[in-house]
Amino acid sequence: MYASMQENAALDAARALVNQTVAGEQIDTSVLEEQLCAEAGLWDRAAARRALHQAHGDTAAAVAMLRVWAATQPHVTPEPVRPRDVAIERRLSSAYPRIPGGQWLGAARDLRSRQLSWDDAPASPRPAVAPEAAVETPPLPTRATTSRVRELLGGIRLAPEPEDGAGADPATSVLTPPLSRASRMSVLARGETGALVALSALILGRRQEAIMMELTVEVVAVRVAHPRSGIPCVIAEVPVTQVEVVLDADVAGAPGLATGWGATLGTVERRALALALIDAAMKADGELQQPLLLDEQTVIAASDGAATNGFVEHLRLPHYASFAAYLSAVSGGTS
Amino acid sequence: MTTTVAELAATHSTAESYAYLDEDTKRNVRRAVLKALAIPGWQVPFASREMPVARGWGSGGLQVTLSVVGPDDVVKVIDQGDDMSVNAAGMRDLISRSARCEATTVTAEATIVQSRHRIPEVELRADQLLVLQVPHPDPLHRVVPEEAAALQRHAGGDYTPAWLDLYDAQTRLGGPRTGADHPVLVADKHLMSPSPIPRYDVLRLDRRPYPILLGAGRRARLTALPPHTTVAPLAFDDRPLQPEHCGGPCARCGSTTSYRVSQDSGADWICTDADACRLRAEEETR
Repeated sequence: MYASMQENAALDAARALVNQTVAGEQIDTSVLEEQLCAEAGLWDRAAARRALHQAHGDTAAAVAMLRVWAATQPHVTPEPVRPRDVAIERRLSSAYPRIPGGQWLGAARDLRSRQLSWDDAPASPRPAVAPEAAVETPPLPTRATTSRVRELLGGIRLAPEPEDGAGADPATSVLTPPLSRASRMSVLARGETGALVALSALILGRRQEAIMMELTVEVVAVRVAHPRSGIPCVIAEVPVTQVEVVLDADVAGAPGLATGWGATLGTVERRALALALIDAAMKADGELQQPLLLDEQTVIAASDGAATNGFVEHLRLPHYASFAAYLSAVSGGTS
Repeated sequence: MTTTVAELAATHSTAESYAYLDEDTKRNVRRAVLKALAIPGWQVPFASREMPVARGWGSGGLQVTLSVVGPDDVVKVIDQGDDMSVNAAGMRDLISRSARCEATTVTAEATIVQSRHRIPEVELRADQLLVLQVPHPDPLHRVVPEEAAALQRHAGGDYTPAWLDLYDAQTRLGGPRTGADHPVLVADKHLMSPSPIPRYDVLRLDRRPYPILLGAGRRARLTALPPHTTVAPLAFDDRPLQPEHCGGPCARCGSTTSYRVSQDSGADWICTDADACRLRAEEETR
């Protein structure tokens, strides 16, 4: 268990975890494979690696190949995911230091050094403990037993939630505008990572307050009804990252918050962060919402990947002091 | 025999420079610092480098600290008042290792305090320096989105849009809509972002005996407050800026005057300034 991003033994363990290198592979492309799977809307890492190789490392071409291949495959409709089938491996909140259920650091890639090493030895030796032994932890908490951090926002004015239903699958149907929120989210969930981050960085640059309420990296068991017995059977375990954010919003003429949710296949967290920011911005209303002009400074602000990635990912840092200041203003502390 | 750039780099890469940054970069940052000190509250552009922390994670503050740090310095880095936050601890290690200087968590012992989102509650002395990490250096950006137009407003000291925005918030919402990062007027002249410090801290910025350097790495801007500069929050005379309301005394040190945040939106309030809280708790037990 781990609270509020502090230097302690848990952190050293997390650092060892992210610095593990995949044995026998010359170039570790594991994160890239996850990103390709997310952009293709299909979870098959081996296929992603194959596509990346056949596309000579051109990621856009690899995603296209994956989608082309997926289009030829039969589609089945899985059961809605059950909360108790969602095992949480990593959970953070930038809003409150102490959240019910606790913060779990897990594999935190921020902890990797950003300095290029010219040392040809592996970046970091494998930890002395065998990975199998290291994995020997108490059973992971599930979504069914872990409450949402946003539930702590009692008494704060929130932008109204749009009517939700099951969205259409963009892989199998033609979507026509206006899209429901669910359909919109399913299209955006396959969005290109850089594009999502650029859009959300523009949104972030124009807001007063943006706080990551909760980030969870989960392993989700996907169930499909058995063709004979009809019993929902687990056919795959897929890593999913979910993020919930809040943005400042004008709610019925008074300052409040708009919540936003984003989820992506895999563990490229900036994708989920970007999706949640876009969702929240589309929910927030009133004059705080500014139109985006395609002027010089907007174009430049959106195009530097190092800057936009850092900007969007900084939401993972604790914002306890500044969020308290905003909540105090929102709940009438300025009178 | 052909040689690749990577091979050349591998054979010629020397140990990193003193205090990480090369001397040219340091000179550039120092020049901007001097200029910023000469025009309190003015945003001075500087050639912000890619740093080994992500942009938006304190790269501006880090460049300022690394440009002024020397081997005799004692460095303290805090994130939201907390010395042990991972990002703060990482930067403290980088600074003290590369500049071969001491690191501390005790505010009174530090010569340089780098901070994100808080002004230390233990008042700094004239011989100490505060470096703040800034995400949005231009407080006009929200009301005057076009940068060239905003620059013109700053040059003319014409802050009408900011005042109108404040008036609009006052009449419609009953107070400013800023939580943290309430804009301040520096030396009665320039409007400045004090970085996302709570209003509690904004009210403690006036005429301090120590200098403050504000670095915004992602936006490549430097701002400075020399000692004894007048700093006033943007507010109407009859509607002064109010500090945040805290729901209870600190559960650790019992303070009722510090800046405290709720641990879980419940009843438990804790000081965000870890060192000041520790001092008060020690005082209590003595």
